[in-house]
Amino acid sequence: MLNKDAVIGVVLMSVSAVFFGVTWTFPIQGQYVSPAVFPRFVSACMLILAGILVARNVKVPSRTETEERGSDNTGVAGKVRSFVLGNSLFFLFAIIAFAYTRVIDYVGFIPSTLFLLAATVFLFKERRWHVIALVSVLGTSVYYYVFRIIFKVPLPRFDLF
Amino acid sequence: MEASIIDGFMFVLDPAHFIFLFIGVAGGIIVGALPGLTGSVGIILLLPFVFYVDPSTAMVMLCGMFCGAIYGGSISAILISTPGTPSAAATLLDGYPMARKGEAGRAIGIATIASTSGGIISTFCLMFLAPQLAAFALRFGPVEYFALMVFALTVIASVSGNSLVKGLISGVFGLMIALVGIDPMTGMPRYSFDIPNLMIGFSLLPVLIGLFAISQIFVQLEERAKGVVAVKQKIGKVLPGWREVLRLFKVIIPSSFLGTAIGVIPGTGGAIASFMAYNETRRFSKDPDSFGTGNPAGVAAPEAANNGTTGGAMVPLLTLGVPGDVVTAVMLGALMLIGVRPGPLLFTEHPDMVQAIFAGLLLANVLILLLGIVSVRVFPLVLRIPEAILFPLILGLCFIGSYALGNTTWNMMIALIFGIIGYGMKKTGFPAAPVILGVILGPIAEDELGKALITNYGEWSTLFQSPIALFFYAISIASVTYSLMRDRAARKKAQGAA
Repeated sequence: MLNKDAVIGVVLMSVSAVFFGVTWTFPIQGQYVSPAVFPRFVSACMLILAGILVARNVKVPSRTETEERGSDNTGVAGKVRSFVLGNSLFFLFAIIAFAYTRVIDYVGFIPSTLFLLAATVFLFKERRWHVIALVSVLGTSVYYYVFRIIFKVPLPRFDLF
Repeated sequence: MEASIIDGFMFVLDPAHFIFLFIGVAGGIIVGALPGLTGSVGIILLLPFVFYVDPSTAMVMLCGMFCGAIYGGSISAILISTPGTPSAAATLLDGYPMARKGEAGRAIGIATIASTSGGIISTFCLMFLAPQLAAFALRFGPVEYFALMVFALTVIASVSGNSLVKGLISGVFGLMIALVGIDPMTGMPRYSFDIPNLMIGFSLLPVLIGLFAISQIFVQLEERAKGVVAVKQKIGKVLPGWREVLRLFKVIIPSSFLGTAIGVIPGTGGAIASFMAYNETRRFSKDPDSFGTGNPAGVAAPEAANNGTTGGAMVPLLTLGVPGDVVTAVMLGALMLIGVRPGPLLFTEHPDMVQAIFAGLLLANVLILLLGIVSVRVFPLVLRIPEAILFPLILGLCFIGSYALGNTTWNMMIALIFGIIGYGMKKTGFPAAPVILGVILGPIAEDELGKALITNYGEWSTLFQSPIALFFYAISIASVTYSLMRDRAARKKAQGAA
């Protein structure tokens, strides 16, 4: 039976196997040390460590555990649904943040940051609209002033058409 | 022309010059505290000013920026779990837990005192031991550097927390991340899969911001949803008492010397010094298990070490004309711009400037102490801002800070991805600090290994022929053995309790 750490170990073993396998596509070049040497060493280390993690966390289930698992009728799909619903806030926040990083180059810094701040304040359970608006506008203004005006960082501009 | 340190102090304390030192230090603290902006950015921003002042004043201002920026990184590391500079990543390990316990002011006070002490000790080393330290630095070739990196990698075990295996996995994960990009020896892209952005690799600061800051925002969102109430910050007694300060000096003094020694070696820097100091302090502590939960020594040691690198990094710069780290590399450029050529002749051709630099470094650290004490009651007020307002603002700052590093939204994406990875690591008990060590040390170790083999015609045995390298291998073995024994004892204790 595999617990969470063992599953992570198996995933890491797979990733390190892929990492190791990719090194065979590196051309043999370089004086004395090819570009594949260090990656192979690192991948091998990860494979070994992940193997130790799996070995330490794989256990033979007791009769009680087997009976309890037998009475659990939730399939894989059900478990995935339960996981997503249980972590819905995390997924929503991740989607909003991801959208911000993609959209900012087209919509520009100011509108996208206003949206990001407003959405995040809302997710943190602030429901007073004047507070949401104030934080978004003030925050965006300060960031713009500090990074664009003082530090001369060229922030993204509107570039849709 | 002869000059003494008294002349240096007289020069710097002249109001016309002191104002520039103050601007450098205060500006450095602000730049260092802002994620995404480092001391090198601050020095670049000051470059236009150097043309309007004499070279000595320019150097004093740049030194102030250098010292202030390294200290400033600890403020954001302690308050919002976001190291302002890579050298503050180790400070976060105990600084942020202290802040979570309501002791942010005390943590910043300890960081201030430790930073000042580290800076002053390293400046005295610079003043009296510069030629000897330069000779020490010259003995480091690729073989010795590689051995130093091997030792530095063993620090991973010390910051692994409760599970050594998980800590090592995190460290190796950091090494794997650092492999993405262009191979330093052959220029061949690795693990880029023909994606242009991956050919650049992953910049350290977005990875740092994601793993520590953005992941923490995910955690805070979860806690907010569960209704967990934040601890109220103590603003009253914010400075540590004299007894605690004297007790911490047992940690601060050796860490300062360690930082100075590391800083002297070109290409190392405050991040490596701070983690090493943290590792050694924990190793010799009577209560090593308390590290990572808010132990004041876990703040004092890395802060003393990272500011200790300031004087150390100036040694190769002033005596050899070789920069000790990224910031001094930019300072070298600034010196060239104003027509000053650092190197062995600097001490004889410009003794007044050299003494002004010494005095400037000492006074910069005194200014850090004064500014820190004055503002230590102000900074923790940031944590009294309601979480629903504070954390969205931190998120915005993280994204813009990441963007500012290369003017690309790719860095924002990296920060977010590593934020998600960091959140997952926190939920599953994998420590994040070893990842940073792997990302910093991996490329240096591989680069030095390649250089060592090239300069020795592929003879691997030469890696074990240098006395300095053998010394580092020996203490690496001792360090790993100690960590394994400690981990085994901890697991036996846990099994016994179960």
